[in-house]
Amino acid sequence: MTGGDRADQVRQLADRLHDGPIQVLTAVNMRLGMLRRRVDPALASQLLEVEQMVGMALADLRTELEALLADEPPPS
Amino acid sequence: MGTRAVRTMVVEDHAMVATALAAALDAEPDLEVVCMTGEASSVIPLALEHEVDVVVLDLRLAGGSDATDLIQPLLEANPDVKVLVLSAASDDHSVARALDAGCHGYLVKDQQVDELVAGVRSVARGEAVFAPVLLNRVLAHLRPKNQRPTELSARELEVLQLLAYGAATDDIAAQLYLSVNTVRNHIQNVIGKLGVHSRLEAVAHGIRAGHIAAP
Repeated sequence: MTGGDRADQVRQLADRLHDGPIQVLTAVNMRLGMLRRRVDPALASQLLEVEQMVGMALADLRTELEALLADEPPPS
Repeated sequence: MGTRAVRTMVVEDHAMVATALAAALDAEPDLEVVCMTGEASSVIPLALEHEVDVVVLDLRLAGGSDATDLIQPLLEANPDVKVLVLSAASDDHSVARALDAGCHGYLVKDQQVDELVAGVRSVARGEAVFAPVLLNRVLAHLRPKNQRPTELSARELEVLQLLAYGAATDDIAAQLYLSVNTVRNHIQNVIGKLGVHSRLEAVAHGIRAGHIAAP
């Protein structure tokens, strides 16, 4: 596999992650946040924990994606 | 007399994110989502037609369009509008381009909905708002170039030299007995200190400046 092939594969993977799980998790996080603001405090604190977990997963995905792209040499 | 709600536009090409974001903003009594689009070509006409106060802008739109290119023309068309970037990307290049284009804020998609709502209110009031995770990058970008630390450490020079020889991150890590993440940090520091946007530029700059030898 040439460097160019690998770079293409990495960019395609990055696109799929960006357009798939990252967007779904973002929407889930926003919906959870809306729900949390409407429910009683006991349930709200539990929803906040779930929100924070989703936020951490999103942050990890963002970091990994950037590391993946940073490892690719720019197109010549 | 009540204060007018902040007229907000959501620019986002992923429908489920756009609807969730619009619902979250619309649930606030002082915010009103007046239009949404995921098409780059519709952004400026819609913003003008609906007299929006704040545009919440995803940077990557349908068809791979880079919405950063819309910020400057949008501000020229209506200097009163505020642009709040909301992106999954937080890399140096994306942040620097958005800042250069004149955005008033930049939040990332892993932030809680409360922070997004607060961000819209802040930029509407004329304040700048940036995700905490971006602050170092924002401050480094705002610092005048001649005040940025430019001297590369011995380790950074070693990393840059190996980059010039074509070594990949994991090769550099193995050769210098460092973790891959440490090598990545060194590379980011080199790029930041040299004021460039990529490894290739860093290598070219390093050779030109005599920091490292040509391969």
